[in-house]
Amino acid sequence: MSLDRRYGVLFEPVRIGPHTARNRFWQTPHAIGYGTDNPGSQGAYRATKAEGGWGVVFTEATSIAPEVDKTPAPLSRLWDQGDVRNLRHVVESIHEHGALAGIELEYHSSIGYMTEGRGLNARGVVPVAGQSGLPVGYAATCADMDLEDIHEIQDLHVEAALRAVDAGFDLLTFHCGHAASLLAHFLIPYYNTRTDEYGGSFENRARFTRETLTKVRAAVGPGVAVGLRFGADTLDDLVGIGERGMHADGEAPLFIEHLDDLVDYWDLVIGAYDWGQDAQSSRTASENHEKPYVGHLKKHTTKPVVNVGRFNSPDTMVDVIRAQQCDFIGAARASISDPFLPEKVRTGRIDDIRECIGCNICVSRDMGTNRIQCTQNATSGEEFRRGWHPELFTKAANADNDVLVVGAGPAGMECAMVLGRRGMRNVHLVDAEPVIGGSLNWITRLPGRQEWRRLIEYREHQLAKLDNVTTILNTELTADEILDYGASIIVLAVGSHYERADVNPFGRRPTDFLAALGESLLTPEDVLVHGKPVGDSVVIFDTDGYFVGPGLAELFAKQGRHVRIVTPAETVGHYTKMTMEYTRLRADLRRLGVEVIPQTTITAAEAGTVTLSSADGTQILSTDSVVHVGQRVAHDSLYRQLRSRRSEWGEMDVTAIYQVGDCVRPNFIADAIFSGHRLAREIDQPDPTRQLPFVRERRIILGTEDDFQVGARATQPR
Amino acid sequence: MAEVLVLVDHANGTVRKTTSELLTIARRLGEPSAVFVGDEFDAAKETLAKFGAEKVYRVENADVTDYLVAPQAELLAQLVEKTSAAAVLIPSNSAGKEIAARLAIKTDSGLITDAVDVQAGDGGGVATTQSVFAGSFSVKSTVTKGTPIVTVKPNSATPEEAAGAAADEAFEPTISEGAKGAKVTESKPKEATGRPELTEAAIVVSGGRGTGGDFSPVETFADSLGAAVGASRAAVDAGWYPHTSQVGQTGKQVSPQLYVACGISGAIQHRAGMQTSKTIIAINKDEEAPIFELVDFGVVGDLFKVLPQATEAVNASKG
Amino acid sequence: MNIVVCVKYVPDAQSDRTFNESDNTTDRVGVDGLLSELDEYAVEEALKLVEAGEGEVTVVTVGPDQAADALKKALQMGADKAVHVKDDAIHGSDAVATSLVLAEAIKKIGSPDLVITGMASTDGTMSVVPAMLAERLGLPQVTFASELSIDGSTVTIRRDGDAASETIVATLPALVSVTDQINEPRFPSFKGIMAAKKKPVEEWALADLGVDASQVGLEAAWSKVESFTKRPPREQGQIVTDDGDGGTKLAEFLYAQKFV
Repeated sequence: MSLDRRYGVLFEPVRIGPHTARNRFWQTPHAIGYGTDNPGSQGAYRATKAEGGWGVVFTEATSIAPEVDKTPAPLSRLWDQGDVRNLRHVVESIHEHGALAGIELEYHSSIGYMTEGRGLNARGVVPVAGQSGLPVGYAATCADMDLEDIHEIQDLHVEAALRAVDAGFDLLTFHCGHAASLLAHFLIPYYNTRTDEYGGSFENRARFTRETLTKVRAAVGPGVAVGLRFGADTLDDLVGIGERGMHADGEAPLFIEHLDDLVDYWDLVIGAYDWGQDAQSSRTASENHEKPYVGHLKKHTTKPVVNVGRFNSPDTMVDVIRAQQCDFIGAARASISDPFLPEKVRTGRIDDIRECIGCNICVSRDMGTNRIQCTQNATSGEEFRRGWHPELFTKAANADNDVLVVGAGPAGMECAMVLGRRGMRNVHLVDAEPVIGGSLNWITRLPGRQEWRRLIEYREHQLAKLDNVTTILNTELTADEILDYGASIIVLAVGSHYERADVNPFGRRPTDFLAALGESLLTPEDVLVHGKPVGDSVVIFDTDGYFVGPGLAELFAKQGRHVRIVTPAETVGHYTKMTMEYTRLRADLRRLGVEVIPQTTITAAEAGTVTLSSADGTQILSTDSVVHVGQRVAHDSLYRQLRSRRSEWGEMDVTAIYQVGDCVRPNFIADAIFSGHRLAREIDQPDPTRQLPFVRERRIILGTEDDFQVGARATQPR
Repeated sequence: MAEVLVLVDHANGTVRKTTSELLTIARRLGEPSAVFVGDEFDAAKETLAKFGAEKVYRVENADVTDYLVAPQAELLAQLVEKTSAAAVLIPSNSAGKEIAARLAIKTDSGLITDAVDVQAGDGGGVATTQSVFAGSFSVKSTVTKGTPIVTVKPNSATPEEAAGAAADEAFEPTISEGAKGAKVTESKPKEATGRPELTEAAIVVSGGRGTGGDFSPVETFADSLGAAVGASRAAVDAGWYPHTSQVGQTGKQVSPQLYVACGISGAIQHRAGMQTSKTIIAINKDEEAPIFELVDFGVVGDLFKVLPQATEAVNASKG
Repeated sequence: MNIVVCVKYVPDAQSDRTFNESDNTTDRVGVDGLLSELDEYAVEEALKLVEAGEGEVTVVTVGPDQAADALKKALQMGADKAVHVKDDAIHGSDAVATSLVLAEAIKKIGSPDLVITGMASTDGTMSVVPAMLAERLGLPQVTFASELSIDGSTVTIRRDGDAASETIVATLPALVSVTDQINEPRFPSFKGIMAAKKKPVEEWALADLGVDASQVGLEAAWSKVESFTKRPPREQGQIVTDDGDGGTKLAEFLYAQKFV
């Protein structure tokens, strides 16, 4: 069909320096929390992308010397032969599936006060404290750099490059964006106030990069491609560094032209220290959101150009290539959500693509110095340590069973889908509501969260394709009906809800005084599910600390209400700092006239008023309504009922009853989905209630290969 | 010339357009004889004459008007026997099809339902055309036994005026007890329910990103066509229209007679929800938009200009 | 109350449907099939009526071997027994012949108080079989019921037409066709699925019904398909650029295509 030939342009081979990429899909560098010390996990993760069809697969930001170590972040390092050996394994894993392997090298001097480099000193363009060290300037200054230091650091770049070549990498990117490396610090006036020949004029500021690349190229020779990840715009004040930064309509084109002879490709990004502007969530950014900044830059170079910007749909990708905006479709998140995106486009299975919802849970895991996790794709980061492949599922050893899954929210849908793929004889996914999706149906009514509906849409479509899975809606089952259903295995995925009154976790006091508010006390579900009326003035009391409270504030303010959001936490929506949404969210709330009252709790309530209490004293607010975004309680009573009737299971031919998702413990959606996925993957284990141990890559005294198998418990002679 | 019986479709004497279409078809096959059930014949006579009815069999029997379907089939069966009619034409509404079905059994005759065209067959007889399997096949059929009984869909013929005598002939059918099993005991006129339901509508007009959130030109255009209103995923994501209106792979799949995409680029996700529509029209500013690869008719332009102009023209032609 | 529900096994609407080149009959063998969705409402309504009082639900279908799947689903939902009329001679039967076979089958099952059918089959869209069936059984028919109740010897339905909402009363026994608005069909639980395996399914051929092969099948049809043409695959139509008259041209197209 001619329509499908549209996508052919994405599969044209493209030359990059001495190499040829098999297609235009470029998995850009992103940290996954495994670094170089967990080569099994790093290798399997990247190999999955290559197997999924990405033509170019990068690892992640890699520090080139111990003095710029980013511990506690478990990032990659390329300091010694041990790192080379580990990375060589990663490169081979990528090559095995026909992709080119890339590495992103950086000397990041502004690394803050919590690093491991004892007795080592990161040298900076100037000694001023780096952004990450700001709260504790006491320990965050960089060491000064004279000419000798400059040459030495350039040599560190060369040595790291040679180690990268030794490991087998095809592409070496030098980080010059996100203010994440010395190259950018030299280039940008905001950082560089030097008065020698490395500061001042544009040429001076570009000199360090020019010299470094010249030395590197001379050393690595013609067999490897060298490029720059260039932050083309560091954005305006508040989200960026303002006038003294780098600008797409300022020096960026000059820089590109100036260095074009020394690079084989350009990987363009935006943002400064707040790299969350490059990785904006779906709350504020849609596909190709960086076009205004990078869209015109290709004409300043003769080399291939990579763009990023929440690329998700193959049609957008085609448009962007055809418009000659860039040569490669760069993506991290789209590849996390679906490593097999390119293969699915190539084989005409576009309806099977698991689209990134832009929730930035992956970003939050990196910010929390943890292993990668993805809401849409429960296998992300589990390829090695749990042996999970995103597209392959083994037939369950106990497939000769009929399974009843009660509750079609995130956990239930995922569990039913994976059970179906594992060949269970029959799976019935039952929900009381007329639509599938559970709590996602109301969550996606919050402003900026509509794209999270993709979580439902993907699963709904996949479930419909599974012959052994039937989705049954509008059906509420009692404990009797569940036992009598005829299923041998039962999975409860019945979720949670926000409590009207709870125990305030800050201070551990009950909030039952809120009952005095009567009808004007509301929960998020009251508003978004039951449509209960909200008055002209509303106070949101938020101990939830993520997107629900601020989302409601935004919603109410847009409806023209007078909104105050009160939280005992230091700041509203704390977790949005981890998803890097906080800056824009806070600015939006301010613009909408929402009053944010942090570090304050509610201690009393009466009709029409609440009493606030903080370190500065007490205050009484009058308000028509109060929305309490407090504790969520698990719906675990059904499980307890069924458990108490264990003696009846036998005669009903019920062999097992499990629980997954929020009804065990309310948590992130990513965890609910993981929970359903894990149970289904391990449904044929001797005791599926207990997670199989995953592989921990660590040094074990007298360790053997067996210790690194999935499910192993290290059993060593004592 | 043989008579062709046409069951008149009327509301209290006001003859519906379908009847004039059936009379026109009847003239191709023989001499049209209208069958009028009810006592408001005077109001209908002129129209029946205008479109060629040579005779009108008037039936004022209360048993026929009081009871559903079965008496009408009995009366037509008796008329068929009396006139040796060449064919019986009945409008293709639900009552019409039920009457036609019972009539076919009573007269041992072949039945064709939902014909979209009827012509005289080669060597006598009646040649019909039907559209089946959601419009993907066009079928030509003939009746091989008895008196051809054909139910005809609206808009299957352009009514042609032809002065007929409309000679009034009262007819008194004999209605059996068994035919008096079902009657209407109450009838409540329905209020205008607004737009049709998306998956059932014959015409769907959808809006997308190009509306910028203002669906009014889309809605006004839809109303001029009596259409349902749909939305692309981009429009739903932006909060402009509810998810229940979303057309696409992950929304509703629709296959109407006509689908009009306004300000919708036509990403594959959307196409999957509407590409089996019989006729597809698109309006989009971007001439490269993928949707244009699917259309029977497309306008490259601003929907805020094109739609209002089209709406006005449509409303004008409805008179 | 004994109720007979006529169900049809139909090709899945999602798969491509076509005609057999050899005899111009609908290709019913080569495609995936299931219980006609509209018949599920009929089965559900029968089950509800019987559950409210006493009685039995029998489902009957006329079709080839695969038609047993339609019966299976109905039994899983809770119907008590099933009858499958199958005979090679029936292939190619039109509504007239199908209604004859069904009528004889229903007479053989025993005089039901109510015969329920779905609104229209989702494939042939002839929707005349219920009417012909009622004629052959000498029953009043009430169609398109969105609401139904039994009161002693009468059945009362509500029907929502385009112009008006009507209440219709018919004397029992009667034939009723129901719409998809009347109820929410239940899904068979695993238990229902298991129990269905033990429920009786009788298979009858034409001879069991006293129907002669000459009365059914392609040759017996009282109408026949002379030819069929497939609608050509979509090709790109006409594209115009708006020069101030785009909307007018659009309206002209609609008018020419009879959408206005």
